[in-house]
Amino acid sequence: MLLTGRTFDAAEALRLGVVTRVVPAARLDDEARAAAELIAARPPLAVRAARRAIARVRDLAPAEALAEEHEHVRRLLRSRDHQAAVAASVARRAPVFTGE
Amino acid sequence: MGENAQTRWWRQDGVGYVVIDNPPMNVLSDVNRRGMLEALGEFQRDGVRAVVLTGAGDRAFCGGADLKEEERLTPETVQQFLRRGQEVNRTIRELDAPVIAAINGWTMGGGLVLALWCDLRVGSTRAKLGAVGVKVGLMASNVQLARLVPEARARDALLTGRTLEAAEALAWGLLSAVVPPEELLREATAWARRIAARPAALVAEAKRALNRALEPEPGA
Amino acid sequence: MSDPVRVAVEGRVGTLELDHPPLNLLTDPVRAALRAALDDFRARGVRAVVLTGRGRAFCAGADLRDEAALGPEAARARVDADEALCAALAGYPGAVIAALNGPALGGGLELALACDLRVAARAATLAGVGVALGLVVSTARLTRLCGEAVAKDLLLTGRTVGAEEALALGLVAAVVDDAALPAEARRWADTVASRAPLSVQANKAALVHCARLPLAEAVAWERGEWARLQKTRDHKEALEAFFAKRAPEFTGA
Repeated sequence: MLLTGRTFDAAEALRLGVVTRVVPAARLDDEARAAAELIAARPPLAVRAARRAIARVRDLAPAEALAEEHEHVRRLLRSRDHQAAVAASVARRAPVFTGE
Repeated sequence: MGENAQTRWWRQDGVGYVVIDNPPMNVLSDVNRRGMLEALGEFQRDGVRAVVLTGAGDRAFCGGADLKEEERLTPETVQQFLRRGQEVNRTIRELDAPVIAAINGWTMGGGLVLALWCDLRVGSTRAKLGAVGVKVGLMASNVQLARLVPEARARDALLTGRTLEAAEALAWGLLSAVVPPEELLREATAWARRIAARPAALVAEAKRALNRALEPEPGA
Repeated sequence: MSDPVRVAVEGRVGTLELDHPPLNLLTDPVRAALRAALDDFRARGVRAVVLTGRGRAFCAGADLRDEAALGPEAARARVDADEALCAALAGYPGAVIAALNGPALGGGLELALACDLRVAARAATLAGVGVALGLVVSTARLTRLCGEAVAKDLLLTGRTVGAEEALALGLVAAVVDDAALPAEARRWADTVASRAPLSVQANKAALVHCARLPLAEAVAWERGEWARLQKTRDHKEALEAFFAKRAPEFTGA
């Protein structure tokens, strides 16, 4: 791709993992917004930790990446949002997250 | 332009061509390895802009190591055998010109290793790729495959040793294009010319930058 | 209470079937049964393992009622126990194939990712639901297996993907009709079980060992492994079988 400088279409980008979903052009704004809203509805500490953990994987040996992930988990288990999620799940209601 | 008993090479319009010609399966002999090294050395000296590497005939790109040659290896000669193979791979990687593998048929074992060290791969509909180490009690193409495709797919190919048909290799990104057999050389040449049309120094720098980018960051 | 995991060995292939209805949630008895069966398989030289779920789910992850009742300390111990189980699957000296018969969620997805290969029934669904619980799950394994783009999509949103999308994303190697899943998983397991065991093990180890090595070091490692394997009896058997045009019979030596 970089050696030829060629262009590639959405279908090829999906095949090569450059994009992960392809939607009709008319629905693009709605789909992008829906994905953003889904992420925004998740507990912020967990989203932040996941982004950081994923970005680190390419720089770490597999065992080190797992160890870092587990450090995040141990920290997040104490978070108020996680406790709220567990309580809400057992009570079968929607959780309210505060970012703590 | 040159040839030895099992390898032919020439250049045309700034593009270098190397053909592994060891029928019927184009197994990789020491004669091929020496021929490829000679050809690539010549191309580098002559400032060839892009190289196409393919197998003679329409049955195989390269069927892997010559098993008869390999069976005769002694503890003394095995290291030299491995070094010579790696010398070819390293030369492909360090050549200024990008190397395009034109995969015309069976590409197995050491043949797959060779194809994966190239910068680009285009295939005919007859292309069949196999990481066959587990079928013959060896290990090869593990390192390159793990760098070219996500690990889920590398595990699939490496642990089963199964044959990837052209369409699946295209879907995995191992092949950049698939065309009918009679169009393969024309297609590979088109890719080579597209690269040859760009400033040579820029292409060489892009290739070096990509080689570096695939290395882990020191101290990360 | 009946055994939460059904264990069977047929030829060189072992099967582990989670049987903890309705969702095959991961509990301590399930983890213990899986670990014990894997140890037993290893001792018996089982060359390929199929991990699947009985009923409508593959595995829907941890039982949150445990955590609600026992508190964060127990949850921490559970995370360690999950990782020990995943490490046992990933480190098994043969291939482990996850046969996804239904939902694989959260810790259930992580179990599937710890396997070498995944095949799915059309009824399978996969989701990294950890984020919905305020946790981080599967970042290390999914990123390595499918790349950063896929990992970010699935793990930041927690969205559910079906079998066909999982195939396109490279998460599963094959998708078949629900009824055909056991035979499909068995076919993959038989294929790997017929390969040279030392080669399978060397390839698994190299994928872990060479993951972050500079290219030159990784290539040197691979060359060393090639030279080691080239001297084995199984490689000589492969050459003899090739020249005699018969199927090789590998012994793992």
